[in-house]
Amino acid sequence: MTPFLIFGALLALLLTGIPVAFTLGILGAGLLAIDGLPLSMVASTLFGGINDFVLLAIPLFLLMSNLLLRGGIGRDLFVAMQSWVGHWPGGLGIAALLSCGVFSAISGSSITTAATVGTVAIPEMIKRGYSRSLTLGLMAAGGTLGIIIPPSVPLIIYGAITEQSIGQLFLAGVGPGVLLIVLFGIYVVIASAIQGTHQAMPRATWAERGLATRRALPTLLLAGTILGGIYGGIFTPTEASGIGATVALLILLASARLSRAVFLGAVRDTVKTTTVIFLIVIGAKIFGQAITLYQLPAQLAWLFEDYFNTATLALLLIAMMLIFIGFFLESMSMLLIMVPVLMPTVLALGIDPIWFGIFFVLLIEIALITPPVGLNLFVIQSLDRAPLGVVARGALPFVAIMLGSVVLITAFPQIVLVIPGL
Amino acid sequence: MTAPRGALRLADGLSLMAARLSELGIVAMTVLLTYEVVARYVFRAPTHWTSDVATTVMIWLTFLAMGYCLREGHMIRITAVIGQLPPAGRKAAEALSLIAILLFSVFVLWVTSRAMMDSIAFGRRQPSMLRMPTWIAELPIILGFAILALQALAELIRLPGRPAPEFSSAAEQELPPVVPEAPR
Amino acid sequence: ERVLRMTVQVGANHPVGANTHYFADQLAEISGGEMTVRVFDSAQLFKGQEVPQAISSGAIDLGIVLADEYAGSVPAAGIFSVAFLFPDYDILARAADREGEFRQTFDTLLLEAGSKVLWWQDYGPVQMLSKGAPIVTPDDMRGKMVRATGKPTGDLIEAVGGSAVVVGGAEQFVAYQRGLVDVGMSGTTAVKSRALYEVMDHVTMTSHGLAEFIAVINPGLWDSLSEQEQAWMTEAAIRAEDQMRAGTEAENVEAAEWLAENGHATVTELTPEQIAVWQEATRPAVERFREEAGEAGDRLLTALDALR
Ligand code: NA
Ligand code: NA
Repeated sequence: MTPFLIFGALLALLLTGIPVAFTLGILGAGLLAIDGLPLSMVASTLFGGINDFVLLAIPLFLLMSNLLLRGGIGRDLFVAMQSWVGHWPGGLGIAALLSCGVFSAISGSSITTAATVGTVAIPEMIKRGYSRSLTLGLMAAGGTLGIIIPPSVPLIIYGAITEQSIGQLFLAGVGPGVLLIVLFGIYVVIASAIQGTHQAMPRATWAERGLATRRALPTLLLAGTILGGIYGGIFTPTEASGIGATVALLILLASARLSRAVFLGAVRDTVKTTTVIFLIVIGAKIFGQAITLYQLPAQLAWLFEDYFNTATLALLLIAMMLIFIGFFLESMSMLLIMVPVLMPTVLALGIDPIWFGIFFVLLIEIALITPPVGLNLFVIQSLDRAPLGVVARGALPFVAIMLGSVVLITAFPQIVLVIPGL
Repeated sequence: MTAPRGALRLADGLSLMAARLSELGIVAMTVLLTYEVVARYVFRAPTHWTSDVATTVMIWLTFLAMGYCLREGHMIRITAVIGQLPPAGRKAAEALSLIAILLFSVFVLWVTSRAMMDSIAFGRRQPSMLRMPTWIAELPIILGFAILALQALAELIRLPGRPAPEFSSAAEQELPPVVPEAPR
Repeated sequence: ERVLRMTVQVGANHPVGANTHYFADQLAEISGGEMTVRVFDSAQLFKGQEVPQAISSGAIDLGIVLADEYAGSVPAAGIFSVAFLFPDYDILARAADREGEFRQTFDTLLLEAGSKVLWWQDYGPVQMLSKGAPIVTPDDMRGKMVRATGKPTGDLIEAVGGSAVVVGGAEQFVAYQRGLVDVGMSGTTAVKSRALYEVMDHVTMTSHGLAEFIAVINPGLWDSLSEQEQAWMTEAAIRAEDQMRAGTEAENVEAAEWLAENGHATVTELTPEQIAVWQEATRPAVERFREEAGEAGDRLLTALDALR
């Protein structure tokens, strides 16, 4: 009974519009008080909750992508990609997708990725006759690559709360990220061919390609440096974030795009996002400790042990649970509330915690593009002013592809684990 | 009437000043971490203090910016239900949120200030090479929630005199700005 | 009936975690079910570094802490990681004598830091790990990036001309795999259980420090227990401490053999002469400790000398 009461109370409080972080904190503290547990636990959690070196990477990766977003890097990337693949069937879609892939490698957030590439790609694609639904769905889904291809804010948080290596998690995201790009790409080519409404682009000349590529080169190099630097052990993910922010600043400076407004805007957005994310981290930890003391995660683990004690069956149930929660809950809250609940089960079943992190993030990606609450749908909607239904319908095939990739990484865990093991 | 208005201005001013400090904090963190990599690779002499200092700066900037984030409406919340309410209902929902934040902040101030006194009494320090006293990373939590409590109170006082808040579709508080094309 | 809550940062299958469950079982048995300990493992409640604050504030009743976590507040508590002070298991066992000067001094230090010691958990000695060639002499450390875990190991590394890089437990494997540091430090059993041998092919049995975990209780709670309850807990604590000590040496020896026999890593044992060279080279680190740890450190060092 207690679990239903607690989660019912959580849902009810969330719906009253009290900010998520405070809902979690108040409910957690309330649960402690009801059971006569020491309230000083709240103080300990506030002191320790974000006192973690690895979390430093979050504000700095955010700063890096905010700088590039405001500096207009999105257009450079898209133009460069378009010059190479624009004349292919479905070429603009592929160019948009590849731009998302590259921007994902310098952004830890899916909404920044969707916004950066979507701003430039959506009008171009629609101008060239791509259907609105395909275009918007592609950009909503392409944006979610931002959290699977490293760097990734959710993976950093997952690593921090489960004490797994951020470096391993980042490398583990590469395989599934590439898999998604390939699958999305195949779908775009087929879907645009079937619709047959888009006009092919003229093939760009080598001079055009050279110019466009040179312009996008600094961003491509930055993406390569971060991934290569982490892979090659040159720096830790946290150090990579610091270097990344500095290099992003230098790129803007060198290309004369660094205005006071760009810089201050990027810094302000970074402070804002950092604060609201970290507050949820802390609120969720207070709530998580309270339900841990009520032994809810342990009870869930025992339930799985008694009735669903194979990893595949458990993962199927967990996936269904997360897809359902993902309809309604904002992605960061979903991660922070559910990981502590599920972790005892995952460990008891002997599931690799690195692999599970990727599995979880794929399900978050699905949550980002499923209505009624899907942040990426909202971003794309705000860019194009299309009804939410149109965006959501366009995103539906991509949801199916993502579900397929969840099945694929479960059947072939190597997709996730080969690269970190190299 | 002037005394409350002065108090409101004080709350706004404090929040804004704290947010500006937070922005400086972001810049400081970037510099610190970049310096660490340079120290390690160029001078082959890793520092023993950048990670401690940068983490402490991160804690300061997070908590100091809370008041400003509240004022600017950045807090992530679920607006699916309250967004559909009539104006009076929306005002009531906003009041409920502010009261919840205010009460939670006061509770946090009570428990954390006692815990920080405890840390100071025990002379507690971090077990790292820098051995920084732990209260340095605990103080911003108290300051931050004090500013947040003031700001919540200020917003609560202003609420009746303002038009009902608009809660648009959903978690759009997190959306990045739509950036006009940069000049080239 | 009294229920106590305990935070543990490792899993129930880790020796340190398993030992807390053993304690809980013993206490239930000794007290005839009057006292129960509910163990929350795998850092579900608190991470290791949060435990001293959580214990002293009463946020949690019992917890496990690595002794080094107190070294910031009380430098003398870092003694288990000070260079080459505990060359073998016998010295540690003597130092752990509950009636002895060393044990009483150490436990009093932690009490002053807000944690009442229940029992010690010997997790075993710490070794050096390297790639390509084993670390044999202190000179092999010169100019290398070496993983440090805190102040005392940092001092050791610097005494032999290396650069200390602080790497947490979770990032350890990657730091070795990607070559972020050249030389590692880890307990012998962790080399096996954390699969560090996959990324570091040489283990040198320096035993230059100890990973000593301490089980602690909130002092106010302890004082509020009846004499009977305190006696039960002490008895269970002694059993848990003995069980851990008996198991640790065997497990460490077994892990070292497993590594060597299965060709996972070369295991280099050092001769007493080679250890003497290390002790000489790292003397500045011990002196540093003596300066910083003050009178309490002196008392611990003197007590330790008397045990040799
Ligand atoms: Na990314
Ligand atoms: Na959703």
